[in-house]
Amino acid sequence: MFLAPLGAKERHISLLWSEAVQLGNVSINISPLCGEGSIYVEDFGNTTLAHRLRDQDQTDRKEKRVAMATQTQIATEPKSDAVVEQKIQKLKELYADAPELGKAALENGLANIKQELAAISTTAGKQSAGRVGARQGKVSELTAILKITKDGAKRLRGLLEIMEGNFKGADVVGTLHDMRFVFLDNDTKLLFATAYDGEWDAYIDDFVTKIPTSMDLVFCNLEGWPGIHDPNIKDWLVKHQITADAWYVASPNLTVAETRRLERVGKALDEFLDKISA
Amino acid sequence: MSSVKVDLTEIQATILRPRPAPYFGTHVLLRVNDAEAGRAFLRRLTPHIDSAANWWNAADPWLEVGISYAGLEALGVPQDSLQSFPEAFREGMAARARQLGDEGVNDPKNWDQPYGKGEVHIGVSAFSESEEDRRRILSIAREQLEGFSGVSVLAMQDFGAQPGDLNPLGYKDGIDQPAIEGSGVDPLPGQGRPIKAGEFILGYAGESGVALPMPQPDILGRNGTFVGFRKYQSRVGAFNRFLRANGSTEEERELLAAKLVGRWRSGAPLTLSPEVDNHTLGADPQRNNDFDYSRDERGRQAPFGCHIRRMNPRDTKLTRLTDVNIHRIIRRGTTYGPPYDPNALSEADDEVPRGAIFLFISAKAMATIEFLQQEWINDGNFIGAGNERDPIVGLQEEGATFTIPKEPVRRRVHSIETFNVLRGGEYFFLPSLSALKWLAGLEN
Repeated sequence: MFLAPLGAKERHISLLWSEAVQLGNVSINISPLCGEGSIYVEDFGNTTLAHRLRDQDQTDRKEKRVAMATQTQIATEPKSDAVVEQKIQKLKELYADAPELGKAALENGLANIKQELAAISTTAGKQSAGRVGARQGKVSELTAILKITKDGAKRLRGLLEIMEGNFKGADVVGTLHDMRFVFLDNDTKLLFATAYDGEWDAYIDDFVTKIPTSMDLVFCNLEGWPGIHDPNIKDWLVKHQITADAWYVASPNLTVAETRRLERVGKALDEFLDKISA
Repeated sequence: MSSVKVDLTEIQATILRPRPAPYFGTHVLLRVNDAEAGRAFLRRLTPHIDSAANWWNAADPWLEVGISYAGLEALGVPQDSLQSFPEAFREGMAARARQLGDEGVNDPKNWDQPYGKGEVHIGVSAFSESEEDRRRILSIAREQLEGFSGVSVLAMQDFGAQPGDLNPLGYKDGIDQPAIEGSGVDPLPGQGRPIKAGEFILGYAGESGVALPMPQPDILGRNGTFVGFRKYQSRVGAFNRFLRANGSTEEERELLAAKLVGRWRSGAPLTLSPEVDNHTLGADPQRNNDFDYSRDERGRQAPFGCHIRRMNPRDTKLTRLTDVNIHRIIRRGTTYGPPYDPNALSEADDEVPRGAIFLFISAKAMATIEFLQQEWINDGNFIGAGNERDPIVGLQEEGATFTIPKEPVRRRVHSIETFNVLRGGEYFFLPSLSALKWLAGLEN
């Protein structure tokens, strides 16, 4: 156990942490009780709540750094050279029989690819949105391909046109980042795709009681739509949804509500700065 | 007006009967080692389980019995019947840690014995108005176990109101409950309009107009419900330290304490008494819940992220489309361990086994609890509180904050910690009285 007097600088803390980790099998706690700016290192062994909370702090801090990395693209857990080499090898194998264009792209872009692979943090991988769908941070995707009924295409197209190609009414839902309706295969199929906040399951029950007519108005044009009130509606949706294999989100921590809040705050701040700089 | 009437003679008393004040009781957790013994135990216990027919007799002590999925299996319930139960219930609470956000210090691998290992099969809870009554009803329950080795007691936890009916963090709790349509129970002011019975009891229409999926066969599922049982340990030392660190006078600390919950210690809601506590208001069930947030759109009385506003947003304008009426749940809090100690300050105080075991009752308890954990407790997006979490039952991350809206500038409190740590839990099915007889009558 040692006590290191500490300046209040973040830099000092991370330096000490990495040193301590090399000692192996230690936990770190920055305890406000020790007085400002001290840090102590303690062995594992006890299983009191206090110790578990300290363990949790340590994991949290590590995870938080990794999570922040996905936003700012600073590598904090860089992939080791060996891992990168392995991936490059695999890429070369995959592209051995690719069209010439692809092979050339791999050759010419090798340096960039190496950089990108090295920067990928270990936990920035795709998460699950719940029963189905992919998620990055707070933002999930829903992608479905649905068969349109015989006369449904005309009706659905017409409805979307009347809406001016925009579903502003979806604002009321409050969690939809975007929503797209794309007609495929001669108007026989619909690609329905949306990015939304949170878990897949959480609010479908709320749609049933709050906006049942909106759902049925649109989706009655799809083959087999059982109606939003069907007790197995979630199963039906899962059946037609395909989880994305890759899901990139620029700002995984920005929910719709948070974005709107930041817009308001940003505007107010600008006005405030205008006033004080006048 | 709906003419739906809930069959009070079939549903267990605990669903409608309010917790007495003061209250005393015991939770008993049992494992069924032998199916026949388990069924025989149920057969003997069932005559002592009160129905809700005399729900107003809260003065009479009563027993409730719940069975986990592992318990239903152990009792020899047929496979197709087992499969008809909801997935979350079948998996058990420990396996739903991801959906519940039970990680870190709340991770099931850290839970107390006997939780989280699929061994808790039957939960029997006794509620009463006095210590004597508690002992009496508990010995009745124990008599039914006499002579059995096929059913073993895994754990027993006494609970009871502390002086002044306070929970371990020093608050009067359990004030707000949903009113159930067709129950015959008159709603108290502020409970909101009666919610369709099917949200709380299986076999009746829910808010969407249809009944929720019910376990089969009919006699097993109908008039039953589900219970989420969650045992929390209250870190009283940490809580008191937090108040002291963020308030320099007794008044400031008590105001901060109230801002975290949304009520003063007496139970008086901030919305009705924004500046000082009011004990007569807090003690009066006709008044202490009679409010909405229509005059507090900016959270200046009750902060958006405070506990009661999260658990029941009422008419708060939420950032996302929500039907608050389908997320209501009946809550029975049962406090255990030494009473609230305003002078507890040390980490050793945090280790004292004292806290609250919550029973959350609803026909879709698993879905509701998981929703509440994900959306209303461990996140703040729904109510404009960003990443912030419930200050009382949220699992706080490092660097967590709690925002108190006020003029001219909001106050953001740092150093908020996890004040209630999860020590164990399970999902139970609360069968109707006929269902209990059906279970007891199963054969190998």
